[in-house]
Amino acid sequence: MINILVCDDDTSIVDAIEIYLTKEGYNVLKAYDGIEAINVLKENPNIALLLIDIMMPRMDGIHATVKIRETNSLPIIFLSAKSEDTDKILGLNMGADDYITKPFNPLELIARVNSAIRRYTQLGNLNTEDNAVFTSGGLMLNDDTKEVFVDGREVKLTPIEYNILMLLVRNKGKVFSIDQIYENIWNEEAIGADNTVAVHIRHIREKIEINPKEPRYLKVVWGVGYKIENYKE
Amino acid sequence: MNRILHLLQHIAFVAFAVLFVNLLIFDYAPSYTVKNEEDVNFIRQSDVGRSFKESGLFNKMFGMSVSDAIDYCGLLDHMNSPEYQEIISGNSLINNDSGDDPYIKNISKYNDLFRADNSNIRFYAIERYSDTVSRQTNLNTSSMKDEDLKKLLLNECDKYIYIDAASHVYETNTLIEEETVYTLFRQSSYSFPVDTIFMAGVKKDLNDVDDYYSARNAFSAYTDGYYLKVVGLFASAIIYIFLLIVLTVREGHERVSKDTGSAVKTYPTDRIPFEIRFILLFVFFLPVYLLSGTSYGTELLDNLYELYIRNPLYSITIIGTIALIYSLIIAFFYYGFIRRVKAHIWWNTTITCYLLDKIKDLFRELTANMPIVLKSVLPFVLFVITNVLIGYFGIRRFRRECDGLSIIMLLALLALDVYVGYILYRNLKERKSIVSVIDKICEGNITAKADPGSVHGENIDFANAVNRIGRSINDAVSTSMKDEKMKTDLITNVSHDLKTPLTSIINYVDLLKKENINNENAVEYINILDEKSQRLKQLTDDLVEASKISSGNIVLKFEKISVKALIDQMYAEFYDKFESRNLTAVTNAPDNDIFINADSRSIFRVMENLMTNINKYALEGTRVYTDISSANGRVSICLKNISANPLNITPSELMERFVRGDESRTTEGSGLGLSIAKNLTEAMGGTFAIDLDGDLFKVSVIFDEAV
Repeated sequence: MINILVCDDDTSIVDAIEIYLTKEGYNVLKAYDGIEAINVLKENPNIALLLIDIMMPRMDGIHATVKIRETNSLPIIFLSAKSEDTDKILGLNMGADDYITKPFNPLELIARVNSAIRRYTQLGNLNTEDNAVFTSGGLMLNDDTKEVFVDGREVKLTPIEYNILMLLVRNKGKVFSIDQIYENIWNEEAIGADNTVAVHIRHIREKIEINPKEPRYLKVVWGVGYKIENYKE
Repeated sequence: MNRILHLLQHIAFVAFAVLFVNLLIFDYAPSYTVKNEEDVNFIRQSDVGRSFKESGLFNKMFGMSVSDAIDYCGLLDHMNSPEYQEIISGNSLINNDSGDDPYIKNISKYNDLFRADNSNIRFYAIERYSDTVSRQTNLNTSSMKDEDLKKLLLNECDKYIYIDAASHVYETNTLIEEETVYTLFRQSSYSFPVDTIFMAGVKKDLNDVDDYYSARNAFSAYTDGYYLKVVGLFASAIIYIFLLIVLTVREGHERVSKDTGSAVKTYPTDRIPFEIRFILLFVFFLPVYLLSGTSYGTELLDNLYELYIRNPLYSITIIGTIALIYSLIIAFFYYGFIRRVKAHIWWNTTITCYLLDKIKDLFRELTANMPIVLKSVLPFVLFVITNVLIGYFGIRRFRRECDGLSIIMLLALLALDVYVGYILYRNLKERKSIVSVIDKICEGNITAKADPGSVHGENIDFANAVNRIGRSINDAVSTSMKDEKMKTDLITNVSHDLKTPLTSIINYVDLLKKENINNENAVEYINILDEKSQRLKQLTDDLVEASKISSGNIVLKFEKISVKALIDQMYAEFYDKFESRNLTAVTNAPDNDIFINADSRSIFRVMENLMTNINKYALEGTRVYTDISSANGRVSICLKNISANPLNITPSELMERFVRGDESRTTEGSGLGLSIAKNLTEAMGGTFAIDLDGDLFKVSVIFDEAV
C-alpha cells in the first residue's frame, strides 16, 4: 500500500481526492494546514507523495514545502487556486515537483500523482548508461528496442512519431522549426509542407503528456517550432 | 580676533600718516633757504644721514650768510666813509629817516638779519686801508684786535670761515671753498682793500630763533632716524595692506550661533545704499582733493610745518588724530562694502537696483493689460530709440572730441546691445528647454518638469503652466492606473475565492457521474451540473486574464514569429475539432515565409481564441479561410468563416466583454474570447478588427512585418 498525504484547508476537497486516490489503490493520510502536514510526515516516514494546497491558515504550502525539503525528498505536488505563471514558477522553485491548478480535472490529478510516484519509485532502476538510451526527466527513449517510456510507463508511438521524438530528444533544449523537422524525418525539402508535422506532434503530445495543453516534455514555441524540455535529473 | 586686527590696522594707518608727514617736512627745510628746485632736490638726496652742520643745506645757507655778511661789512664800511658822510650832510634830500636811500634800506635789513640776539651768525671784518682801519662785527666786544676777535668767534661758533687776503690765509671747517669766498668779495657792490681779514661763524647751539634754527629743527625732524622712519613707513604700509587682505577674507564670517556655524554677519549700517556711502566717502575726501595742489593746500602744509617745527609732539597728536579719523572712515566704508558683497546684498541694497526694480514693476504694470502686439513691440521700439539716440549723440561727440563721456556713451550702447542680445538668446534657450519638457510629456514621460526658477519673465508663467498640465495628466493617469489595478486585484482575488468551492463542485459532480444512478432525470441533471461547472471554471479563468490584459498587467517577451508556422500549428491543434464539425480549413499564403515580432504565448492565445470562436459558431460543413498577406511592411492574418446564426450585432459590441454574437449564453465560453484576443493583439502593438458582412464573419489581425 502506497501512502499519500493530502493537505488542504477545505475538507470537502481532501475528501474528494481521498475517494479518487483510494480507488486507484493508494492509502490517503489527511492534514488541514502546513504544520499538520509536517507533523504527519514526521510520524509516518513511509509517505510516498505529498499533495499540498498553497493558501492555508497557520502555515501555507510554500513555507511547509521549504521546511519539509530540509529533511525529506519525497515528491510534492502543489494544488492551488493561484494559476498565474509566476505562482507556478515560485512553487516549482521552492522544491515542488509539479503544480496543479484548481479547479482540477480528477483524471489529470490521478495521472500526475501516478506519474510522480512512478518517477520517484522506479526511475532510479533505469539503466541510463546505455548509449542507445536517451532521457529527459521522466521521458526515456531506448533506440535499440525503439521503446518509449514516460515515468516508467510504456507509450506506443508510430515510426514517424518515434523519429520526430528521437530527433527532439537527441537535441533536447533546442527548438526545431516545422521545416527542419520535416527535412530531417522525410529527407526531402519542405516545399509546401502542410501541417503534417504539426499534427504528428500533437499526437505525440497527446500520448506522452498528461495534459497536452500544458505539456511537460514536448513544448510548443508558437510561431517558431517545437522542443523537448531539457530536464537535468 | 577681528577687532584686534582692525585696531592694528588703524595703528598702522596712523603710523604711516605720521611718518609720512614727518618725512614730508624735509621738503620744507631746504626750500626755506634754497629756492632753486634743483638744489632742493640735490640737498634732499645728499643730506640724508648727515648731521645738520655737515649737510649741504647748512653749507648752502652758510655760504649765503657769508655773502650777506660780506655785503653788510662793505655797506657799513661805505657808510662810515667821509665821502658818504659828506653826501648825507650836503644833500638835504637824503636823511637817515628816509626809506628811499637804498643804503639805508639795506642796512636796516642787514641789521635785522645779523642782530646779535637774533642771529646765529657771528662775523667780523678788518679792512686796512693805507690810512685807516675799518672794523665791522656783530660780536659783543670792544676789543678790535684780530686775535681777540678770532678767539671770541671761535668760542661761540663751531663752523666758520677765516680769510686773510693779504697773507693768503684761508681757514674753514665747512665745505665753502676759498675761491668761493674770493668770488663773493669780488662780486660785492663794495670794494674791499687788499688787506682785509674776514671771519664768519655759526653759533654752536643755534639757540637764536632764525632760519638756521628752523632749518636745523626741520632737518633733524627729517634725518634723525631717517632710515628707521623709511623702514617704518614701508612696514606700516605693508602691515596695512596685509591686514587689509586678511580682514577682507575674514570680514563678515563671524560665528553667529553655535548651530549655524559661520555665516556672513551684516550690521544695520550695511543697509545704507552704496550710492549714499559713495557720496559720503567723496564728501569726506573732498577737502583733501580740494587742498592738494592749491595755494590753500600749500599754506596748510606751511602751517603744519611751522607747527611741527615748533612743537612736534602737539603736531603729531593732531596729525595722528586726523589720520585715525580717516582710517575709521575708510574702514567703515570698505568693510561695509566687503560684508555686503559677501552677504550678496550689495546689489540689492543699491539705489540703482531699487530704481531698476521700480522701473521693471512700472513696465510690468503698464504692459500687463496691453494687447500682445503692443507688449512685444513696445520694448523693441524703446530699445531702438535708445540705441539710435545714444548711438547718434555718442558718435557725433566722439568725432568732434574723443573724450571720456563719448567713450562711456558708446560703451554703454555696446553694453545695452550685448545685454539685449543676451536676453533674446536666453529667452529662446529657456523656451526651448520648456518645449523639450512638453515633448517629454507628449512621449509619455508625464513626470517631466520644467524648472520655473531657472527661467525669466514670461517664461516663468509658461513653465508653471506646463508643470500644471503635467501634474494634471500625471494625477489622472495615476488615478486611473490605481483604479484599474484595484479592479484587477479584486477580480483576481474573487476568482481565487470562487475556485476553491468550484473545485469541490466539479469533483463531486464527477464522483456522482461515476455512481450507478438508474434515474434518467438524475443523470441528465448531473450532466447539466457538469457542463455549467466547467463553464464557470472557464469564466473565472477568462475573467482574470481579461482584466490582467486590459490593465496592462502582463509581461511580453517578443521574438520573431513565423506566421505560416503559427497557422500550421494552430490548425494542427484544432484539426480534430474542425473535423468533428466538418469544417474545412483553407489557407492562402505567399510562398515565402512572413515574420512578425510578437510574444509566442500571447499570439497563441489570440489565435486559439479565434479558432475556438470559429469552431463554436461556424456553420457546420463550411470552409474556414485563412489569408496571410504582407504589404507596405504590414502583415495581415485574416480569418473568415460563415456564422451558423445571423449576426445581428455590431463588431464593437462583439469585442465588448460578455457580449456574444449569438446572444445566447447556453453554450460553453465566457464571451471574453474576442475581447482578450483584441486586447492582447493591441498589447503587442498590432491591430485587431472584426468585419461582419451578412453571415460572413471576418477577423483581421495586423502586425508590423519583422525584418
